[in-house]
Amino acid sequence: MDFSGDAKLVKLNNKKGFSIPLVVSLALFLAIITYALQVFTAQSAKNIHYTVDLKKAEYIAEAGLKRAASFIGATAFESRIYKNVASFSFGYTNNYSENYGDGKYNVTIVDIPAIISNFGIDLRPCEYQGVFLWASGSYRNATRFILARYIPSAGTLPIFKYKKTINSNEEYEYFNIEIN
Amino acid sequence: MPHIKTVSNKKGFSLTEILLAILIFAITVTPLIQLFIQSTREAESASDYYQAHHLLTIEMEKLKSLSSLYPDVFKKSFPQKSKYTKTSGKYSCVVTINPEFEMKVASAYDGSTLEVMLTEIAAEASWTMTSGRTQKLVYNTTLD
Repeated sequence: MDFSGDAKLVKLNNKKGFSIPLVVSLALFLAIITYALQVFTAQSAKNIHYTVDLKKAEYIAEAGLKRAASFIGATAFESRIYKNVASFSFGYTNNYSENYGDGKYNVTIVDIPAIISNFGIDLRPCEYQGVFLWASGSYRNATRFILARYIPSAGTLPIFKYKKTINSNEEYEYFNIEIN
Repeated sequence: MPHIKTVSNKKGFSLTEILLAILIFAITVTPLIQLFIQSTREAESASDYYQAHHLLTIEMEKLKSLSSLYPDVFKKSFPQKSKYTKTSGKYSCVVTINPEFEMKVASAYDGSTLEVMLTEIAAEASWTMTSGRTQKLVYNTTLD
């Protein structure tokens, strides 16, 4: 290598402005890394919050379902009674919404026997098909749906019973449908 | 010695350049540090929420199971409005059970008021983040 004075001068000139491009490159690199980290963290946090909100919405939907079922029980499964009730407006197909906790539930009651009897078939209300309850609970952006079928049994009627899995041998069916 | 003269002329330039570089770096990195701190807080908050959610879900599901499987035991355990507290690490859970919640509905037959007794459950977890901020998460539901 040539270590003469001219060669040194050439080397020094080549180093002119070296640290600024270096620091700009470094800053850019850090910015990209930090931004990527932030996006990743924000997405993870959003997912966790959504999971929590979804659970909250599920409890709200369950509350709506239990309340509706309790009123069906209180009215002795007589759809003609709860057809035009003031607070809960049940009937053939009725819908009820209420704010609950920090969220809101919406319950739709479909009384299949009542619909059948309306067409002239002599069935006691709720006796065979039961009452279908469709509840949704919502909290912030999360919504949880629950569909339940309530069939009264003989003797002391439980207000509401359900299982989380569909079983054809059981009287009560319950399942969750999760959207998003 | 023309090359020595040239080197002398550049005396101090590196320092200015470095100072300028530090300035640019500081200006660029300061918001990045803030972003990083914000990300760390978000991650901590999310983790805390998930822990709280886990603790509350356990309490809620225990009560739901007890009410569903052993209603008599549930009634004996919570005959009236009651509250219990559980602490796990930095999380403090307060569970309120109100078995005497009344909902009213008017009969379509005669307009008389029908009353339904329901059990309301509210489970609240509260905790303090490392930043000193207090957070809380509440789950509410109704049992039959």
